[in-house]
Amino acid sequence: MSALLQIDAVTKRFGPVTAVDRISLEVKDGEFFAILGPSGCGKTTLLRVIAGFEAPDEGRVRLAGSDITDLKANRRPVNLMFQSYALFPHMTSFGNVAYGLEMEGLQGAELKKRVEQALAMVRMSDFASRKPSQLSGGQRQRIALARALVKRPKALLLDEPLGALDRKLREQMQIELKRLQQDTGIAFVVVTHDQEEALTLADRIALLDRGKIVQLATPRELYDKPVNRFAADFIGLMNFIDGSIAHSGFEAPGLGRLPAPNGVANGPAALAIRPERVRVTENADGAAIQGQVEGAAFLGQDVIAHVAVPNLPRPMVARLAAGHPLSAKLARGQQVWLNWQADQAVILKD
Amino acid sequence: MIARDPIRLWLNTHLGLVYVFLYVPILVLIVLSFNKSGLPTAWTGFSTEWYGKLLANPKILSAAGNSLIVAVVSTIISTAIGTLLAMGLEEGGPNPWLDALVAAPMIIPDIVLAIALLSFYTLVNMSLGLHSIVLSHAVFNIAFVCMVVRTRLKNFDKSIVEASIDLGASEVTTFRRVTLPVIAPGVVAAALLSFTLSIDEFIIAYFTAGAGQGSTTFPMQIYAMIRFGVTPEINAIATIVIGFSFFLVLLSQRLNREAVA
Repeated sequence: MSALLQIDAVTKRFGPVTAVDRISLEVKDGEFFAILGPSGCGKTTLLRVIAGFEAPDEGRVRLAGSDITDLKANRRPVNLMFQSYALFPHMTSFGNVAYGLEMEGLQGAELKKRVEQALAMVRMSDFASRKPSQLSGGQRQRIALARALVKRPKALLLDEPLGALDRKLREQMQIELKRLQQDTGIAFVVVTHDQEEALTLADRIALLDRGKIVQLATPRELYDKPVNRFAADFIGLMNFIDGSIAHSGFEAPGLGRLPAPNGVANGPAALAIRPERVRVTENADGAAIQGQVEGAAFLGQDVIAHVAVPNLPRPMVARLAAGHPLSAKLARGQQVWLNWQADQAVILKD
Repeated sequence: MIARDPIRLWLNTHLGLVYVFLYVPILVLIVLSFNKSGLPTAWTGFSTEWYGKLLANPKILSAAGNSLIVAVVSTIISTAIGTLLAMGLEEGGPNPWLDALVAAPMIIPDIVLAIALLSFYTLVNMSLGLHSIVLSHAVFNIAFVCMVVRTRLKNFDKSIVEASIDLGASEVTTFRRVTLPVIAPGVVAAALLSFTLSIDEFIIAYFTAGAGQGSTTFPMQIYAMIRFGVTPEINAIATIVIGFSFFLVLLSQRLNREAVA
């Protein structure tokens, strides 16, 4: 896979605010790429720079080797699916999908064939003559997808594609998006604030905060090896224990030495452990810390337990998988021991 | 059954009285236009002879023709300019000064606007006639069109303009195929409003028509006739105008409702 889209040190300012701050990244051919971050992190601005709706103050944008930085939005071989879908309310589904092809000068039988193919691809053939106001949210999204894909863009940009849908429909559309991306082989660049969505969909994720890339990695790397506290906190649930590295080990005030990976320089640090990595036992057995169960929530399969630990400001969160010997009998006030493997924790230096 | 609510009863009575107050004089006028006798004091039988007389009066017909010309031309001018103005103002950020300047011609008393326009035409040495009335009407109609179209633009999802450009359309094509069709109900409603305002406008037309007999508009003609007393002929004209205006108002309201859906 070669680099399809290259963002090279792009900066975009709005007055005193730097929305995008020297961001560089590459999207490969046929890749599902996610730009993830909290609201106001610059992800939508970056997407609009790629689409051609914002001109960057600095930096270049290249697509398939050619510089498109100064190319107008209507000349770029990329298409954008808007967050609000932005369907033309006065046109039917067919008219909406045909619009982009008409702009290419396509007409007659060829136009009809391409539009029908696109509608079939998103399973909306039966709704060709409906107006957007006669469609449900999910159906509108399918038409918006068909409208953007029918032009066979080199890359499809999606702005919060699932944000407006309810949970059940969202899961269904996630699978649908993945299928469409694999069927068409078009690179998808999706912008989202929903970490779960990014983890499920993307091949690679760029995590943004305040206009900068915090981490660019595969979903698994991002989950298992966050580079700093922001990344660790933003993706999934995470327990943090503040302390310091001394004598080649991690020590937390009042808790002593805790299991942690080796090879990190001395100084203040935080230990980050995922809830599902925390082992809960009734006996000490060389465990790391002791605490008292504050509450346990049944999630349908797993159990989430909150364990108050002396000297820690926030309770430790542990996720007990189905079949865990304690999952059925954890009670409030019960004394338990917590432990984890050294290599399953992460040391954060900021 | 819901018990009779005294407050509701009061409100309904009040509503009824307001409508009586508004429409009884008009109703009287309509009834009298069908009165056989020429006097407004006694009903002597139903007749449509005044409508017949009206249609045989060349002065009235030519004045009505003039008013139609003025209304149609000034509506076309003000709808085109007012719509573009509305788009420009919505595009730019909020600017209370520009907003106030656009709204001013609606609020300035007609008599002041009339004098100002007449002074201006005299200053630039422009000849007076139907064309100067057209221009004068366009001045205040632009303000009304702009206001109506802007209301429509406020509910307009601007991302559909970007979507059109993203799909490869030029800005002109986008305006023609996306923006204009979507705001069309608002534009048509604005045109109907400016047509109605122009067709019965008197003061400004009176001031800027000039001395020639050929540029007498419909309201000016009625004014000339009424100086010799309210004739049933005038009642008949008024009834026609009321019917026509009512039709336009209903049409424009209907269009605006459809626009929201």
